[in-house]
Amino acid sequence: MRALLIEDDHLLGDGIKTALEREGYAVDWFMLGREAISAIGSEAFSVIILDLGLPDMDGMQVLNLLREQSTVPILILTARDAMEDRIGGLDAGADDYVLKPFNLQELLARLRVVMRRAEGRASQILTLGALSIDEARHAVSWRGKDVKLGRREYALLLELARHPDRVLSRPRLENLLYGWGEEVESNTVEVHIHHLRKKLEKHLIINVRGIGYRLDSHAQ
Amino acid sequence: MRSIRHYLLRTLAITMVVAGGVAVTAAYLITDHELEEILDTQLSLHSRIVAGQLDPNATIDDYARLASRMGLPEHPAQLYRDGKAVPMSSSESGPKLYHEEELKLVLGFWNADGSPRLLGGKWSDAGPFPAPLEEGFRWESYDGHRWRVFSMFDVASDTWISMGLQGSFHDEVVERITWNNLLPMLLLLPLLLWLMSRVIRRGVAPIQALSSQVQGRSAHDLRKIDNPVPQELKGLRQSLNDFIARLKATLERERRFTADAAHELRTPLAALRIHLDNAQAGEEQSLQKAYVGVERLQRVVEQLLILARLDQVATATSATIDLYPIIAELVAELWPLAEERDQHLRLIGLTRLEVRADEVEVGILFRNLLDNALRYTPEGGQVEVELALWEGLPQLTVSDTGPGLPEALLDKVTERFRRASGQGTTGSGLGLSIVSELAQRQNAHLTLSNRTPNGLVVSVVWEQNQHEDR
Repeated sequence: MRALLIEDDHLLGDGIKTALEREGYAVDWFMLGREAISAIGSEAFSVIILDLGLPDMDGMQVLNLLREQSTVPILILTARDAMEDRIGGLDAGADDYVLKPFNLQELLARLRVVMRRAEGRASQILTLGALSIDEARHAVSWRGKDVKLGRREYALLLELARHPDRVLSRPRLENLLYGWGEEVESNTVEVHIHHLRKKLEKHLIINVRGIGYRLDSHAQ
Repeated sequence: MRSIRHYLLRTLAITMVVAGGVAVTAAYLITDHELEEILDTQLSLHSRIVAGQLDPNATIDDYARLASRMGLPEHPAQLYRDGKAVPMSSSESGPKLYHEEELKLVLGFWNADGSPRLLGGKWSDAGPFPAPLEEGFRWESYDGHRWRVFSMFDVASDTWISMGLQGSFHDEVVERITWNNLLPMLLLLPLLLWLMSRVIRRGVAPIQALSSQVQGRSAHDLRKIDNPVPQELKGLRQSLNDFIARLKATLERERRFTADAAHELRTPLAALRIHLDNAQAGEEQSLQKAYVGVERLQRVVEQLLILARLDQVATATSATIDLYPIIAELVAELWPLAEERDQHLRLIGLTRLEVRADEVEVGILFRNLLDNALRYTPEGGQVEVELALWEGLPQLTVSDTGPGLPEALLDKVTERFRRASGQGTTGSGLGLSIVSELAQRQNAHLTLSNRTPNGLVVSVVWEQNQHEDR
């Protein structure tokens, strides 16, 4: 899961980034609207968190420009509680909003909801054959038994499970796991896949040689 | 304030009545005078014709014959012999009356000694009409009536001739003409007043429309007044629109201030909260960051309180004070902060500088300036405070070696919550706004400029030389 965070406040941005990374997100954090707009064109994100009060551009304008280029779910952060501001944000294409100051758990839940909704799911428990993932609790079970996964392993599995039976390229997976500028070792994805297969079932994740991986939704 | 409509109506009505009165009076006087001239001319002309007809050798019988022609029914002419009336029979009296008014025109003859010879009907009713004894026109009272009389002496026949016209004839004509002037005016007056009232009502209608449009507005309706108004009201409409625009700007500023204040309070609060959450989740650095959040929040709150107090108190109490000890004290107070960041903080210039200001407010002002300078100057940078007289005006300057400000922002940063973007510091965006507000209250003004190669210079210049002021 890769999040694009657009927040001009150092302290708040830092806090959100830390919290999201703990949740397994890769976070790309920009302090200016125009940086974020140029990033959205070149990178794939699972979700965008946008603070409407930016120094260089009007938040609504940033929102419009982001929406022109991408269908990635957008959650807006706003300090303005005026109804028009919130309605304006939703009308301009935001999927949800969180009013500052916010509860971290609420922020995370809303992020999960907007991403889930973007995938067309209603439940927060993702079930594929014998695999079940509870996004709220970050809990994974295989054949009814809970499995403990590392943060990156969980993120990788979730990403594959969100697009079952589709081949996800290795660069894309790397992209989703690591924020821009983070050091990626060449075989990291292979290492995490190896661990996942060991903890779950070898045939659950299929290696499509030379391209990437796919998750078999019927694996038992 | 009285009503324009009533004022106009009253004034115009009075003017109209007065003008009408003057016109009628003037017409009366002119008619009176002109008619007198016409009638006088007639009197003298007829007198001369009569004189021309007189036979110098006429006997009493000739006059008796004349009397029979002059006499009118019920008013026989009276013949005198040796000053005594000769009895006349009314049946003898001559022609019939052609017009009532004929009775008012009378002819009389006197002997040279003033004794009456022959007098027309009315002039003998109460004894003989007074003898003329003087030529020309005059007014004469006789038998309860005024008479306009022309007299002449005919030398050939040795006779005084007078012709008279009863005053009421003249008066009636003048009265009738005057009435004929006055009557249409009296009849037209109500119509004119009604018309005037309507015209005035229509004339002032745009004023009432404008006023009711303003009056009927809700407090939130700050649209321009754009209904058409006559030329005379365009200025007022313009002033109202200007006022509305200013009000709108003020409200907009207030609204933005509230929104910005919410942002400035909620953002550090959000940051504080998330760092506490992170700390609870075991992140090591987060507690420290939470403290930074608390400090920032504290600063924003303090500055908001300062601004709120400044907004409340309209004017500063000012006395002549020496800036040096106040500035020196504050520089000393912030010294540890500079030292901690390895910044060179210096106080240079005059060691005595008197200004008219409020000591506490100058303190807040300078503290904010210095705080800003230290905050935006990198470690190892320099911050210089200078007290000087610049062209005789007291000046306080704080210069730093920080990044300075984008040119476009130089004259905007004094707006509340305006903060240079992309800077890692934790300013509230209120500091310079407070400084600017305080400077204005001290009758001083604030100038910001960038210095080369980098850094910001902020000067506060007191407008008047305080020494001359006293």
